[in-house]
Amino acid sequence: MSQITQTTLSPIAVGRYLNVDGEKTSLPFSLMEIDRSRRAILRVLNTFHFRTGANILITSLFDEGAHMMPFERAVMTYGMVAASADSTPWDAKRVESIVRMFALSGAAGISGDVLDGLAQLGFKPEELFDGMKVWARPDAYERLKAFPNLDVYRWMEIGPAVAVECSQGAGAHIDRFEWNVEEIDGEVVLTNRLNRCVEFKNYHTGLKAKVHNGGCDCGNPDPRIIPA
Amino acid sequence: MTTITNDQFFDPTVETMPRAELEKLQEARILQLVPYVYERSPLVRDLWEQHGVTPDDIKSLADFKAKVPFMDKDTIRAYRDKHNDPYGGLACVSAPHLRGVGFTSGTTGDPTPLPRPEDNAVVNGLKRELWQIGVRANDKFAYMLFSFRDGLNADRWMDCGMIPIAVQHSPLEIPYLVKISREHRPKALFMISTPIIMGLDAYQKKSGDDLREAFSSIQGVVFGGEPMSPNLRKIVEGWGLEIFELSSLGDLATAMECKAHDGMHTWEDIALIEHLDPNDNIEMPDGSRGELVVTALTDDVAPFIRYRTDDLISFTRQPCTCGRTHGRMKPVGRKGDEMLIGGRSVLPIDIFPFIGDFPETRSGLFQMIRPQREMDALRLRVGFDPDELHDDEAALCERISSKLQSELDIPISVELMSNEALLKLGPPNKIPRVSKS
Ligand SMILES: [Zn+2]
Repeated sequence: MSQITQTTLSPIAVGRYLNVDGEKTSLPFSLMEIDRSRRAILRVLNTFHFRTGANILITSLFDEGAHMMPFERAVMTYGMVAASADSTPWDAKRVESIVRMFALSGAAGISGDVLDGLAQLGFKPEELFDGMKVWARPDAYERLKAFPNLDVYRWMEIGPAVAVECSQGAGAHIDRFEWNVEEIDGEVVLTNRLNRCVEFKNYHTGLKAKVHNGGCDCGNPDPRIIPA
Repeated sequence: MTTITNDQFFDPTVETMPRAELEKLQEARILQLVPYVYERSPLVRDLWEQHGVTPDDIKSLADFKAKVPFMDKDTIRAYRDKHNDPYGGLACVSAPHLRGVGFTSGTTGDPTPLPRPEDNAVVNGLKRELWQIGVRANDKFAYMLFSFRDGLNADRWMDCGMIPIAVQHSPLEIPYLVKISREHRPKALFMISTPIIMGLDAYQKKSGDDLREAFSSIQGVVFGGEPMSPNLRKIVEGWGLEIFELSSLGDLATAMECKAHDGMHTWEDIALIEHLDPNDNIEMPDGSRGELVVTALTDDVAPFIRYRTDDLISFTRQPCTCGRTHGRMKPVGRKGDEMLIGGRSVLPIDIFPFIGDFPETRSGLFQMIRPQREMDALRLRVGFDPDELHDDEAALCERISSKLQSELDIPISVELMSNEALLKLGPPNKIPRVSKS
């Protein structure tokens, strides 16, 4: 059975995760958790050979600190500039403006809402995101994959964890030091291996997916998740 | 062994610094800043060369105020477009020193980029504000920034030990806000706006939930974005909350009321504040209305230098009863909205308190007609509800104009229009408070 326990570890902030029913549930997190996740994401960004000074758009929501801050900090670690916008439909104008003003090497956290907002304003994703790496959330992934000219990868929130796809596009990597990842009856089940503000044991995430263990062609042995 | 004798302030050294020392600190920062921005900011170099100013000309704070040219939104946009530089010539560094970029909310045109320094001036000011509300290390507060213009910065609170609970600033998030309030018992709510208050009110009416109980741990709530109407104030006070109004300090920091509730403190160690005649460069007298002009004193990435904000404030440097020595401002409106009626400054904020006084005009809709800045009399378009009409339109006109004339002491002519017709003049449920015709 899933077991979720608050610990005495000091949080720096309280974010949220979506529980099995998709409801927002508060998630206190520590700086250690953010920094460990940042390092795991570096193992993924490594495979893209970005250059210092490149600009990366990050669309996110204000309450996604536990999930998206590690990606933002990983971008900064490489000496790249993180340009921020909301991943809501009504911030699509800002997304378009950032794409036009900044030479972007990548865009992360693109959601179905961002695509809907852009469509309402008459902008075409296949033109806007052409020539950059795009990390799409599950509700935008297939929509963007439909454009053969785009270079689309997965960015996934899996309960309290995140998974990010590497340059091989062969599934989204999840930190093997932080999480014990199992596939049980086709569902991703997580157990944390290190101390966290909230501990998850045998956490049935509700995500139906295949979990691939072993090496990836990108060279990163972190397990890969491919949604069913 | 250190004993903390003063728990009232987060940073007592700075917050209560005598004015002479504060000015010495400003001068020290300015003299560091001048050669730095001249060497590194292409916009500053461009502007100063046009005006024949070099760092050698600036040997004191007084020199800075006398000689350094102004910049404004248009200067930055023009530089951006001419040189195809998204930072508008403001950026003094590039990656990796430059780590991220957020944006102003920008309602027209492209949003203005706000390059992110490692040390966040906005959050540094807010630590002082939340402390005086009563938040201490290991206390939580509900963190609902308007927009995600600064990226994810929850970790920037680490060095004061306060723990932000991030909540999206959206009426859709109200059930979650109430839930985390019961679960985590935050000491403050930062920040709410008109849509959030309306949403909470509707939520309470619909669900019957007791918000006074849900928010019982909250010692202060911060409101921002626009002046707060008496109606909204009554709703929020009904939940047992003390309200602290907040405003932007020219996009480089914020200014917020203290417990004295007599103006918003402008952090003068973070920003050099000038309070100038909007049409001139003369310092306005203490306590009067003037344009807010800011220089960022702690931003090494893209500091504004004598940035004319277009914001009109009334401003004083009289010490506050709370013990802080920094100035206090009250936002009064936008430069382009101000009218001079027989030489007297009149802005929508002057009309607001009186317009809802009559049953016919309770919805508070009005428009100042401003064909030019200076006029002999104020023409005012006022919305009314025909179903509430007591006598007739001419009599209502007369009641409104005599009330306003006696309160504001200026000649006024009132034109009535039904609320419905007036609302058609603007975007949904909102009308521009100032109109050219
Ligand atoms: Zn005060």
